[in-house]
Amino acid sequence: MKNLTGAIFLFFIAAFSTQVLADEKIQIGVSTALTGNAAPYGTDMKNVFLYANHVLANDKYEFIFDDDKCSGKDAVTVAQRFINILRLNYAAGFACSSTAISTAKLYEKSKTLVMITSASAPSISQMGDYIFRTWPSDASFGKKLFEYMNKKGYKKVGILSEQTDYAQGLQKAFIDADTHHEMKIVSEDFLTDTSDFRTPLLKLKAAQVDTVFLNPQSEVTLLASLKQYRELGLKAPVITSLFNGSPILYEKHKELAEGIVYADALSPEEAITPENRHLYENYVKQYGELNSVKVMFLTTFEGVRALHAAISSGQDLREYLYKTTFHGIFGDWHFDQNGDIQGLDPVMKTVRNGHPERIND
Amino acid sequence: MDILPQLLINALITGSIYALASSGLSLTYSLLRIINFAHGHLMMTGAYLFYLFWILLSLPFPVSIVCTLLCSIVIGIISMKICLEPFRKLSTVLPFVTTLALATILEAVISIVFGVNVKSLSTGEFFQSYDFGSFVITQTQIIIISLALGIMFLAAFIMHVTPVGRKLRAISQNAPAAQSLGISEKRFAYSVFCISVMLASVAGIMVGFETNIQPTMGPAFSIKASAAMILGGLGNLWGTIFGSYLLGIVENLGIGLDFGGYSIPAGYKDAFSFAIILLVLLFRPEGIFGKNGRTI
Repeated sequence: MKNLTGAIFLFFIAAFSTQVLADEKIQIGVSTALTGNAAPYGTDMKNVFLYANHVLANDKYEFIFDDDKCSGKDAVTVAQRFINILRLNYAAGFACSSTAISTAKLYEKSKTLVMITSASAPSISQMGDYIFRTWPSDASFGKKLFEYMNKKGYKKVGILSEQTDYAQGLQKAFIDADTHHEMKIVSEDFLTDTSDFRTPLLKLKAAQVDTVFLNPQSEVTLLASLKQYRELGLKAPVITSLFNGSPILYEKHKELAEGIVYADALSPEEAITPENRHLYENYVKQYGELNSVKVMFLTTFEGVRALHAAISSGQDLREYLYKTTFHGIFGDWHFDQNGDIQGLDPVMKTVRNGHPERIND
Repeated sequence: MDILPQLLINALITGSIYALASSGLSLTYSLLRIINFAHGHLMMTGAYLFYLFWILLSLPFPVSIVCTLLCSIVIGIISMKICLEPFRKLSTVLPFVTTLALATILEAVISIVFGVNVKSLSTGEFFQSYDFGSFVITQTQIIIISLALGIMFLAAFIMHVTPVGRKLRAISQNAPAAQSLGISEKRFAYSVFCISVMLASVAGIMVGFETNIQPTMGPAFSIKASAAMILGGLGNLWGTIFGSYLLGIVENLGIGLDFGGYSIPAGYKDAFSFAIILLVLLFRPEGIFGKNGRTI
C-alpha cells in the first residue's frame, strides 16, 4: 500500500512537472523605444512581435519588452538587465541604430543571439557573429538614393543630417556610393532634440543646391524640418529616406509631404504574396495600421520567423541562420555572411495626392 | 545671396519663443527664489491641453485658449501646493528635486493620456508664408513675435504702473518688510506661480504651432529658458527677455554667418551659444542686467 501511494505521488509529481515544463515559455528580451521620438517604431514593433508569436509560434515565446528610449546609454542598461539579471539567450528589437551599436559587443561577448528588426546603420553588419538583422542596411538605401539623384542629374546636393548613428551612417553610405565624386555635397548636421532648422536650411538655400536630402532620425524631426523648409520657401526638390513611408507623415500632414521623393522598402501591400496577404490584413484588424513605417511589419514578422525556426531546429543557431533560405511572407530571403537580410531591397517612391507611389527608377 | 535679413528674422522668432518661455521662469525666480525645472514641462502640458480643447474637442480657438489658461491656473495651484510651498522655505535645494519630480510626473501623465506619438496643432490656418523679398515669415511667426512683445508691454505696465506690480516688486526686494506692511507673500506667490504657468502654456501653444508637440519636448525649453534667464540676470524680467533675444541672435547668426569662408556647423549651435554665455558670465557673473540692475 505504501509503495502504491508512493507511486501515485510520484506520478502526480512527474505529471505536474511535465505540465510546468510544457507551459514554460522561452523568454526573448526585446529592447526597443517605447517612449520618446522613436516610440511609434517601438510600439509598432511590440505589436508585430506579439502577433507573430501567436501566428507563427502559437505563443511559444514570452517577449520581455524594455524601453531603451532609442538611446545608446539606456540600451546598455537594458542589455545588462537581459544578460546579467534575466540571463536571456535571445534578444531582439532595436528601433534605432545607436541602441544596436552600443550593445552589440555586450550581446556578442555573452553569446546572446540578437535579431535586429529595425536598426539600419551599415556598421551593424560588422558587429559580430551573433548579430542578425532583418532590416535592410542603409548601405543599400544610400546607394539607391545616390543612383536616383545621379540619374536626375543633380550636381549639388544639400544634406541636413541628424547627429545619430542612423542618420550619419546613411549619409556616409550615400557619399560612399558616389565613387567618382560626381556630386558636390553641402552638409549641415544638427543635434537630436533640435526643433529649429531655419538657419541650416537657409544656408542650404544660399548654397543654391539642386536638391535637399533631409536625413533625420525620426519622422517627428522630419516633420518639423519639412514644415520649416516649406515656410522658408525653398524650391529645391526634397529627397529623404524611409520615414516618408510613415503614415504619420503622408496621412496626417499631406500638404507637407506632397511631392517629396524617398527611398523606402516595399510596403506590406506591395511585397506580401497573395497567399500570405491575410496575415497582414488580420494584423491590421487586430492592432490597427502601423504608426511608424509599414516595412516594420515585414522585418519584425520575419525576424520572429527566423528566431522561431532557429530555436526549433535544435541545431547550432548561427549555423542554421546562415545556411537557411526562409520562405517569408514576401518571398524567399536569407542572411548574408554578415547576418544581413538579402531579398528585401529598397525602392524609390514619392507622395502624390497624399499617397505613396512607387517611382519607376 | 544675402541671408542676413532672414537670419535676423530667424533670430527674432527664436528669441521671441525663448522670451515667452523664460519670462514665466524669471517671474517665479524673482519672487520665490527657485529655478523651476518643470517650466518646459509646464509648456508641454499647456500645449497638450490646448490640443485637447482645440483639436480633440473641436472647441473654438478663443474658447480653447481660455480653457487652457483656466486649466493652467489649476495646475499652477496644485503644483505650488504640493511641489513648492511645503519645501521652498526649508531649503533652496529641495525645490530643485521637487520641480524635477513634477517634470517627470507631467511627462508620464501626458504620455499615458495622449500617447507618445507626435501631435500637430497646425490645421493649415496659420501655415501661410509672406514673402518680403529678402525674408520670409509665416502667420504663426508673426503671432509669436507680436505675442512676445505684447506680453512684455503688459508685464511692464503691470509691474510699473499698477499697485499689484508695486507690491510684487516690494516682496521681491524685501519680503519680510513687505509682509510687515500687510502684503500677503503667500497669496502673491500663488498668483505669480499661476501667471508663470499660464505664460508657459502660451509659450507651449506657440511652439506647438511653430513645430509640433510631444511629451519629451519639455527639457530642451527648460534648459534654454534657464540659460536666457542666467544670461540676462537671475530673476530680472527685463534682463531675461534681453537674454532671450541675445540667445536667439547668437544661435542664428553664429551658425548662419560666414566667418572668413568658414561657418559654424548647425550641430555646434548649442555649444557655440553656451560658450558665448560662459564668456559673458566670466565678465558679468551676475548676468548682463543682474545685481546692479532692477529686479522684476
